[in-house]
Amino acid sequence: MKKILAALVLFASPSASGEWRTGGQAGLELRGFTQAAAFPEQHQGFDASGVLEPELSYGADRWSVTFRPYLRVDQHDSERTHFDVREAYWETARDQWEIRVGIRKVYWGVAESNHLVDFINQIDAVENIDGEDRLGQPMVNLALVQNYGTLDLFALPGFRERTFAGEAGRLRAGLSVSEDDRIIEAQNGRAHTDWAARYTHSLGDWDIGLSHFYGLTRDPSFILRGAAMVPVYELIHQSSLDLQWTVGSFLWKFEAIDRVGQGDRFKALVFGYEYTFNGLIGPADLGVLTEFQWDERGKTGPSPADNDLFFGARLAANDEASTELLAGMVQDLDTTTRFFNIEASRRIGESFKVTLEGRFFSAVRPTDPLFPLAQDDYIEIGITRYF
Amino acid sequence: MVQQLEDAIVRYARAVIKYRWLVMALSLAVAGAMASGAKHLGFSTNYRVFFAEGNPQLEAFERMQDIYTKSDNILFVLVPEDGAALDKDTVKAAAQLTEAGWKLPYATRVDSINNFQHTRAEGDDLTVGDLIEDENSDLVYAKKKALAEPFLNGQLIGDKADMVGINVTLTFSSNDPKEVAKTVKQARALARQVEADNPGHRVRMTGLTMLNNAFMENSQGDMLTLVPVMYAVIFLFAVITLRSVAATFATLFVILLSAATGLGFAGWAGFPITPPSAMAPTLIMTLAVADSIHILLTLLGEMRRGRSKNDAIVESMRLNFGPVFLTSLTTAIGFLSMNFSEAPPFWHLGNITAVGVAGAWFYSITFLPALMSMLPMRAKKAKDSQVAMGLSSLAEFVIARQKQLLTGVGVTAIALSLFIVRNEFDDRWVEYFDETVAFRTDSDFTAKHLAGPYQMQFNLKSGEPGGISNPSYLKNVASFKNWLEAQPQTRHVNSFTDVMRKVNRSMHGDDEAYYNIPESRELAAQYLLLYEMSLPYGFDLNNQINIDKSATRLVLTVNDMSAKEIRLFAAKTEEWLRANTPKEMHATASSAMVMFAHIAKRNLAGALVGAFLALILISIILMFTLRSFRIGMVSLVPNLIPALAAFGVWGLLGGRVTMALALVTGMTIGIVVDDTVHFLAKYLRARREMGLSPEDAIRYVFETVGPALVGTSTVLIAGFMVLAQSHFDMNASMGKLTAITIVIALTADLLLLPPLLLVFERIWAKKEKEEKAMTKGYKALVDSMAAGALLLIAGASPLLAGTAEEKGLAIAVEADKRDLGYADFTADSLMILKNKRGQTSTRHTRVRTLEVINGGDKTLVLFDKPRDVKDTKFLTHSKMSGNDDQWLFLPALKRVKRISANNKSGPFMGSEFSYEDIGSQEVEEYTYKWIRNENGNFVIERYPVDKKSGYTKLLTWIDQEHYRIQKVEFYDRKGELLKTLTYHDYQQYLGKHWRPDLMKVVNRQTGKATDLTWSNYKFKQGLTARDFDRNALKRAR
Repeated sequence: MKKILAALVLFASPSASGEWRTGGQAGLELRGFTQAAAFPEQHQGFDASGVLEPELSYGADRWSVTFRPYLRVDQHDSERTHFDVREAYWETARDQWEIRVGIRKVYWGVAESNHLVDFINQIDAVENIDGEDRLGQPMVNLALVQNYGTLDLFALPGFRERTFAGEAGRLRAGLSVSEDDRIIEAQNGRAHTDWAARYTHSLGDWDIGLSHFYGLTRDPSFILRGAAMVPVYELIHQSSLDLQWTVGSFLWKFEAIDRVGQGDRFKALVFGYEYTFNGLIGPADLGVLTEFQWDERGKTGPSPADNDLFFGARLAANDEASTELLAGMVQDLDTTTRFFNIEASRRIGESFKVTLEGRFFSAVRPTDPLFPLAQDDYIEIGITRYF
Repeated sequence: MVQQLEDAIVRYARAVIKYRWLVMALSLAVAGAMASGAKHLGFSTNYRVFFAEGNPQLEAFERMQDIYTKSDNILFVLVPEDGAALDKDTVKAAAQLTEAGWKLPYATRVDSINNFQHTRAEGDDLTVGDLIEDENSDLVYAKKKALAEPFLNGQLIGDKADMVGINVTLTFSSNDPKEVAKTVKQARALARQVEADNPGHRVRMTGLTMLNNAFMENSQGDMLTLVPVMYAVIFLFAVITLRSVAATFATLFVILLSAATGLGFAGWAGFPITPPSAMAPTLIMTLAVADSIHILLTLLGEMRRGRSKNDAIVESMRLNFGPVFLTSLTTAIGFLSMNFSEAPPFWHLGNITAVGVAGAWFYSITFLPALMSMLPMRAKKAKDSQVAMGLSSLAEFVIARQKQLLTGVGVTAIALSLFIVRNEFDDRWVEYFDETVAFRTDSDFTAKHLAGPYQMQFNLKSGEPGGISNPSYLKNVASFKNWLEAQPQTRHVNSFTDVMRKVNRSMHGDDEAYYNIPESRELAAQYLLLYEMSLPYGFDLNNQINIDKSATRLVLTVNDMSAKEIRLFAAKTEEWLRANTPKEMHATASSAMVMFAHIAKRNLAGALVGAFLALILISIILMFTLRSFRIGMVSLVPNLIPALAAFGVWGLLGGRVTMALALVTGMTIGIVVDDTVHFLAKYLRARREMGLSPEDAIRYVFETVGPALVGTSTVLIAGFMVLAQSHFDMNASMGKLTAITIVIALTADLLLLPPLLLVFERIWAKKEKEEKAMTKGYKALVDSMAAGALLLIAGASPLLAGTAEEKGLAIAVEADKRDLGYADFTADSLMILKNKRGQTSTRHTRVRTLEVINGGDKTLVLFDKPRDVKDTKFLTHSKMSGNDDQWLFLPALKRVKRISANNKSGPFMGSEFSYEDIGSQEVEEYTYKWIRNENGNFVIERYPVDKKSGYTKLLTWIDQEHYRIQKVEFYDRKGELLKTLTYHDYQQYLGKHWRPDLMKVVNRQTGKATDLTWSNYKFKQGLTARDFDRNALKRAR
């Protein structure tokens, strides 16, 4: 890390054509859990936390450096109180290629309800259960930009483990996760360098992504050791395909993975559509989403998204305050389990934004991977100041 | 296309600098080739060059010249100080002149009272001999006889016998001017010799040969004296204006080449140098200097701004290529209008000057940049000149007092114009020369005391060979002579009847009773034969009768008259002949005087046609260049007023209009229009590109182009005042009148044009408002008429399309075409969103657009504020048809999301703008229909091809000049007016691409509004498709 920073400083020597930029955000969140905790160590009621995510970048003619550290302080959960470098990288672009070196965040995929294909960055699970918060990943990324598409080659030194909520935290597995005992099935452990390649192309209405990953899985298996769960990170090959067909107001989406090396070889899918009614009520747009989630491992597997259907609606008021509302529901097609989700946001003034988030679990069967979370319905309000 | 042209100019300028030695060598070779024509140049020595072939007066005169002895002559007037011309010493001097006159080259006859063939009866013999043999002859008798002899009195002897004339008739062998020059030289030497040998005597010289010589000498004199003076004036001007040795040197070099080119052209074309065409070099220099000054001033200014010399040259070429070409073109047209003149010397002047002006343009864009790139140059710091400061306070004055000025200057101009009627056409060839010219004073003197130069000649035919002896013919001639002598204008009539009477009297023993026409034809014929036989060598009657004796010449000398009086009197004499003589005797009055009397009037008609055509042509060019019909119409005022008012002033100053002055109008239109062009071009630039109010635009014009206008006008006024110093009246008065015209033009441009524009702008703005209130049908009618007029004048192609749909499409295609070639641009936008309660919020974005020729453009929008959306980016690949491709970059997830393009009409960042309002729009995305024209705008309806669009109809106003969208009314799916988008403060970039500084949209249904302010437009940043792909979407910052 220090080396990387030193390199960044070297690159960051200001030149006449360059430009410094600062930014970032600081937020306060208050989660109110509507039900009593399922486990005695867990806190009850409200949980306050604060987030600080400054950003500093410098851009020259053909290259730039970015530094974005991240800090969360949580009232109850010491594991949730954590620091991460989300981004700290140097990037340069030429006609035919781009190189990015350092800690980065990349996003792969097209679906809304499940991010199967997005596999480079480890999930920062203490942040949120939606899997959208990720840890910074050290990498050297060469992108070859050609007429026939972009080929991204990744060397990923420095493995990041998943974060897990602490004993006092809500939204955790029933047993505590013994992170210190984690098993990394690579000879050099965390120092293992993972490799990945991804080809993306836009062909008319079609956006195609084809990826392969070789390295330590981001999605650990668990073994029981005493009263604790020990995460196991196995070396896997994962191939994936993501497609989007944009036709009129329809976005048809498809993601599929095929993973080898983590138990039996399996496949998983998510596909569906998003349809937007433009100007339904005045300037507001209403998007309707439906996605089917499937995992070959089925009900015995670790994924709750094994044979589920997601319905959602996204309302964008398109007003001055950028009021948005996303409401969704995931219905397990085999059981009665339902998961409700609501997210809303609205800007206040020029730099503040208030958010509302609610997640509710309904009729979760004990065999369901979500069962430990069944008591953790919550409503969160947050306010963020952007700089 | 403008852009391509500018690119071509820049490439051209770079090439000139790169190959400067070659360019220099080639341009000098061109100049050399042109100038080498100068060896064919010749000075014309004949006043007849003023008359074109086919001129009826010239033809009559030439016929006369063919029949009778050519009347080229030198009249020596011997003036004794003692006032006694018939005493011994004067008679001796006259004898010396008479004798030596014979020895002048090309002399064919000498007439004086000494050798006057006196007819005397000696018995039955007719004795014909010299009136005065020598100084010892009977001088008292001779004086008596001479004063009684009509041929002598008032012709060769003063009526108080106080001076005598010796007339030498010359017959040149060719038109070689050297013959005239040689003869005049020897004649002058002779005169000086006689004066030296006979103290107390003065010899004056006049006559047609002297007139011809005066033409030649004054042409040469003008060239020798005025051209250097002009050079000095220009040198001074260049030094003051440019304050650079190298630039001054280059300027002088260019004008020298231009003048040499014009003169060389004259040589190749075989134009003779006459006093008018001798003005050409002076004119060319005056006009050529403006080209160089414009280019060099910009060059110096750019260098002061920090450009390298060569870059400054390229920039200066880019900026001035067009204007310099335009002003050269209009000036050349003005001068070419002289071809409508009656007098060939003015054709030559116009054509030589036009070629010289074209040459000035050519050397200014070839030789000048090449030379400048070689010369060492330093740009000195500019000082705030007094002129500039004076002009900016003048601008304030003009704006503050616009109404008073408009009234005051307008009324003054009209009042001055009214004095045009005081002008009178009058060409007197003697007065072509001012009183410093010896020919003029000598001729005036002679006219006053002896034979006037104002003659009319009549070729009186008898209708049969030998018919001049017919007594009835002779009686008719005699009665014509009597009638003429009774006219108050007549001074002297010399006719063949005097010879017959004289002979008749001598045949009757000098009995005065027989001083009349012989009774019978036979007798008259015999007497005539006898008389002719007795004449010594050199004295025949061929100056009075033709060879087969069928016609005689009557020479009428008249008082000094104006051209109009001459024309009237000539008509009167011809009328009398028709009324009182048989058909064969109906002669026309002809002479140089009659020719000049007619030409002024005929010349005016031609000059007016020429001026009118020049005005039309120049106005059309102006309308095209200024791209505005109504501004073009307004420009007529400052282009016409100077000519009208200047002629008014001329009327006040005396109002003698010679043929040269009639041409000033056409010529000056070409010159004064330059100032108007510079003024209006800058004004429109300020209005259109910089979005200034009319008042601020006026300030801008005064500030930027004011000093240049004053400067170039000053050099023009100085140049024409130099011309006014010519001793040749045509040139001098032309110079004066043109200088007056330019003074008035400058005044009109500074004091009349600005208030005129301000007032008209208000009228147009008001009309625009009123038109909205007009009924649709009437408006459509008016607009289609206006469109028709525009079509006729500008030939606007989109209007040629047939149906409303085709028209609408043609307009959209043209609008799209006009913006082609911008390659790429970036700009910053600031949106201010206002809700009904007046609360505002702001949005900052940066927009980058890549032009894709024959494809959809690509646009990347980077969001900066509000800060929660910072780093959000929006990429659009427009499609000619079908849906656009759009991607959104969500910074929190680092996710690139392909989104549906159907949200085009949806709000952009919560504003009243939709995505399509700010993005680039392809022609194919809509169908069109032309609705009407309104206040210089096309009004068309656009119908989105995509039925999913939030709009059903976009009523769009596109201005006819530049095809820029001015306003859009959006109609929602219900067909109701949703919002109104207006575009403001268009600026032009790269001389081509118009972009608004401000776009305002008001939602008519919610009352919300958004103002979108654009800034920091940059074009041709070298962006490529790579800056608009999905990787760039992630990367861009």
